[in-house]
Amino acid sequence: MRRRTLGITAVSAAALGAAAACGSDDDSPSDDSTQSFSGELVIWADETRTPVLKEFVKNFEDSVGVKVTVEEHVESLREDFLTAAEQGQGPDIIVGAHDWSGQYAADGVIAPITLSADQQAALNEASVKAFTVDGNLYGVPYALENLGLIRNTDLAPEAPATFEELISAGEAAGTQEVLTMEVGVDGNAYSAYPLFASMGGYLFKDDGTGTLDPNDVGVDSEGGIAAFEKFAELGEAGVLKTTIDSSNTIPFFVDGKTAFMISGPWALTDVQGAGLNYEVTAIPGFEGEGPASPFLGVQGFYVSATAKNAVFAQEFVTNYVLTEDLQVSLAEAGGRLPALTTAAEVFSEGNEDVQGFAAAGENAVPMPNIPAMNAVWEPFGRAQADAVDGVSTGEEAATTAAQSIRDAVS
Amino acid sequence: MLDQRSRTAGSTTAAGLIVKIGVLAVVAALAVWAALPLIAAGAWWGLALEAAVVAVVFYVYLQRRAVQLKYLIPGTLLLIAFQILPVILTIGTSFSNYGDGHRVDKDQAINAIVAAGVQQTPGGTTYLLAVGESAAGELTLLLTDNADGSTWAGTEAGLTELEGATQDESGRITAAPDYTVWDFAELNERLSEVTELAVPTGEETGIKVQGLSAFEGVSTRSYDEACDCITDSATGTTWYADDETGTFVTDDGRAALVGWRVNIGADNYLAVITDPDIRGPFLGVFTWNIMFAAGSVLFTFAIGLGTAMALNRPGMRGTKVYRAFMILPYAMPSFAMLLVWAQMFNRDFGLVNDLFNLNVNWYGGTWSARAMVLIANTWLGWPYMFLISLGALQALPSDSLEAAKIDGATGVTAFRKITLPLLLIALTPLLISSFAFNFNNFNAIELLSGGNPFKAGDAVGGTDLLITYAFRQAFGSSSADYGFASAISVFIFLIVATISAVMFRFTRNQEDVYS
Repeated sequence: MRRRTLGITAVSAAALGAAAACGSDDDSPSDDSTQSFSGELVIWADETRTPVLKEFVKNFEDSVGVKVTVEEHVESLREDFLTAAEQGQGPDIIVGAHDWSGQYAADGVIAPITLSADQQAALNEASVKAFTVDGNLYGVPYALENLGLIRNTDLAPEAPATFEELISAGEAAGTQEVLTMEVGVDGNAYSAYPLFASMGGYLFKDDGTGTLDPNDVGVDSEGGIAAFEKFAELGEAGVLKTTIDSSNTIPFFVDGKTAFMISGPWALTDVQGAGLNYEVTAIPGFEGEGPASPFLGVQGFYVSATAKNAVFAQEFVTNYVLTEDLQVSLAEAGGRLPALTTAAEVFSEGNEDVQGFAAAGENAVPMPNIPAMNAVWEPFGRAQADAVDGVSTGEEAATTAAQSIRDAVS
Repeated sequence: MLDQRSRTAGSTTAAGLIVKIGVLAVVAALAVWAALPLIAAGAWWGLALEAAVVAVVFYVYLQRRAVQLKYLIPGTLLLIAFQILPVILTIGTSFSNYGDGHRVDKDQAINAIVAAGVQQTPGGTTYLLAVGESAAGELTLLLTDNADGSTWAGTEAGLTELEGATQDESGRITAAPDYTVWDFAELNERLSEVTELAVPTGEETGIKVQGLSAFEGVSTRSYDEACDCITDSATGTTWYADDETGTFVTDDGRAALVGWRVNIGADNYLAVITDPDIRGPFLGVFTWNIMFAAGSVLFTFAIGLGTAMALNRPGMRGTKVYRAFMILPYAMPSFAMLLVWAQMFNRDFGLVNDLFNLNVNWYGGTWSARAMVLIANTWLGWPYMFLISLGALQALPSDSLEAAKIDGATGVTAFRKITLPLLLIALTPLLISSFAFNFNNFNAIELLSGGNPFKAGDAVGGTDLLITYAFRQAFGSSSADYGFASAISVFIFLIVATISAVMFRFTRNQEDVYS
C-alpha cells in the first residue's frame, strides 16, 4: 500500500521537525506570503493534481472574480496542512484523501460542509460516506480508487470467477508465482482486506449509516478468524508470501513471472509501459463466500477551518467542484473514476481499465476514516504475516490482533 | 602601544574592513527581513529577542576589545539556535498533550464543535446569496430561491418577499431598492458580520450562509460561557470543558470530537514510566541497543583499520584504485543503500540467499535479523573508519615504531603495544561519537528491518532500537502524540548523554596513561 507508506514517511519527517517547531507559535517568523494579498483563494494539492487544477480554476476566477492560486506540496501535504492550519495559517482549500478526514476533523482544522440532498444524490454514495465524520460531511469527493485484479491475458485468458479458480489458473500458467499481492514482512491490511471481507470479516461494526463503532472490533469475529485461517492456508500453499512486498509486486507482474496481480490504478502505468496484454476485473471472492470487497479510497476537497476566504472556498467546493467538466478533467489527469455519477459515466465510456476498476469497486467499502483505524494497520498486518508464514495459526493470529486493536482503541 | 593594539584587534586592511561592513550589512538586512513578519504577528517578545541578538552582534564587532567574543559569538548563536533551542522546545512540548485531537487552542476547538452542529433542514429551501446594506448600515440577506427564482430579504425579523430586485443571469440579486448590494470581495472580507446575522425561518430553523449560497437549516449546538459547556439541543448532549485534559466530555465520559492543547504537567513522563508496553521490554531493547551501537563501532573499526593498515604497507601497489573502491559505500546515499540491502535479504528473491544458496528467513528470527542489520550497517560504516584510520596511521611517529622494531617487537606485538594505543588516543573521541550516532541510528533500523521480527501482539520487535520503538509508540500508524514522543526523546537524550559522559571520562583517563 504505497500511499500509506508515504504518509508514514511524511509523518516521521514532520514529527521530527514538529517537535522542534511547536511552542514557537508566537515568535516564529512567518513565511506565509499569502497573508498580504486580500481575496486570493489558496488551494494546496499534491503534484499530480496541481497542474490540472491550475488549468481549471480559471473558470472560477472569471465567474467569481477572485484570484485562485494552486500551490503544490509534494508528499508532505497531509502534515504540512496540519502544521499550518493549527497556527491559523495555510490554505483555504486542501485536496486530499478521505481517510485524512477523521484526523483533520478531530484536530479541528477543517470545516464541515453542507451539501443539499440533490447534490449528495448526484455523488457516488460510498464516496459521501467516506468523508462523513461524526455525522457531518467534511469534504467534497471527486475521485475514487480501489484495488482490482490485473490479469495478464496471454498467460490467463479467462477472468476467474472465484479465488479457487484464480489459483488453479495461476498454477496452470506455469509462472514463478501464482499471484502477486503485497504482503511484506509486516503484512498489509490494505491489500488483505478484500480476501478478509470475502470470508465475512469486518474491522468495525457499521451501524448501517456508515458510522463505525470503534468499540466493536470484528477481526476475531467468526468470519475474521476464517479469513486468517485462509491466509495461513494460502501461505502454506505458496499463493501468498511475505516476501512479496511493494518492491516486487508490480515488477514480477510486468516481467511475466505471474499471471495475476492484485493492485490499484497506480500499477497500470508500469503495466502499459511493458506493453503487456492485460485486463482489469473484480477480485474474485472465495467459492461460496461473499464478494471480495476492497477498500475504497476517495480524493476530495476540504475547506480549512481557518480559511481567510471562507466565502470563496465554500463556493468553490460546494458548487464548482461538483461540475461534470471539472470532475472529468481531474479523472483524465489521474486515471481515477470521478465521484460525480454523471461524470463517471462520461469518463468510463470506452475506457476498459476504468470500467474494470469500477467493477472491482462495486462492493468496495470506504476505508474507515475514524481515528481508531490507526490502531488497525499494524496488528492486522502482523497477524496476516504470521498466518502466511505459518508462525501462528489463523485463529491465534486473529485473536491476538483483535486484542491489540482493542487495547489501543480503549 | 595604541598603534600596536589597533593593528592586532581592528581590521587594518581595506579588504578586511569591507568584508566586515558587508557581513554586518547582511546581518542588518536579515534582521529587518525577519522583523517585519514579527511586527505583523504582534510577536513583541520575539522582536525584543531579535533586537537583542542584533545589538550584541553589532556591539561585539564594532569595537576593538573583546577579541575572544568575536570568535565565540557566531558559534554560540548557532549552538543556541540549532541545538539548545530545540532541546528546550522538546522539553516544553513533553509537558503538554500536543498531538492529534489536541492541536488547536480552546476557542478554535469550541468553534469546530459548534460548527459541526449545523444541519440542513431536510427538503429545506436553498438560495443564492447576496448581501445588502441599508443606508443606516444594517445588513440584509438578499436571497434568490434556487427552485422557483423568487426573491427574499432576510433580517432578524425573518424572511420577507422582496420586490423590484435586479438579478443577473444566474438569478443572483445584483441591485435592490433601498440597499447597497455588496460585491463578492466585500462579502468575502466581511463574512463574520454576515454570519452574526441570525435570520429565523421557524422556531429553531434559520438561514445559514455557505459560500455564495444559503440554505434553511438549524444550528443545534451552542457554547455557554457560564457553565463552560457545549449543549446539543438535538441530542440533548452536554459536554463540559475539562481544562486538565483539554477535552469537552459528557458526564458519562464521552469526549467531543475536538480537544485543545493544554499543559498536562508530568503526565507524559509518568506514562512512559508506568506504561507496561514500555517498561516491560525496555531492558531488552536497551541491551540490544547497546549491542547494536557497540557492534557497529567494533566491526566497522576492525575492518576499517585492517584495510587501512593493508593499504598503508610501503610495498602496496594500486592503492589509489583500492581506496576509490573502498570509499564507494560511503559515497552513496545511505537511504538508497539501506533499501537495496533490505531487498538483498529477501528470503525468496534476495541476493544474499541466492548467492550463498541459503534459505534463511532473515526477517523472521531475532538473531538473523540482528545479524542482518549489523552486516548492512557495517558495510555502510566501515569506509568512514577506513578513512580516519588511514589518516591517523600516516600521522603516527615513525620513531616509536622503529624503536619497537629495534627492540625486537614482532608485527603483532608492535601493533598491540605501540600502534593501537597510539591510534586510539586520536581515534577514541571519533569512536565515541560513532557510538552515539549508531545508538540513535533510526534510518538503519527503520529502513532495513523496520524493527522486525514482530509477532502479532508484540509491541516491540527483535531489532528495535529505543528510538525506533519510541517513534512507533508515539506515532503509531499515522496519529501523532508529540507530547509523549517528546517525553521519550528526553529520556533517550538523558541516556545518550550519560553514556557519552562516562565514555569521555574513560578516554581522558586513558590519555593520561598513554601520553
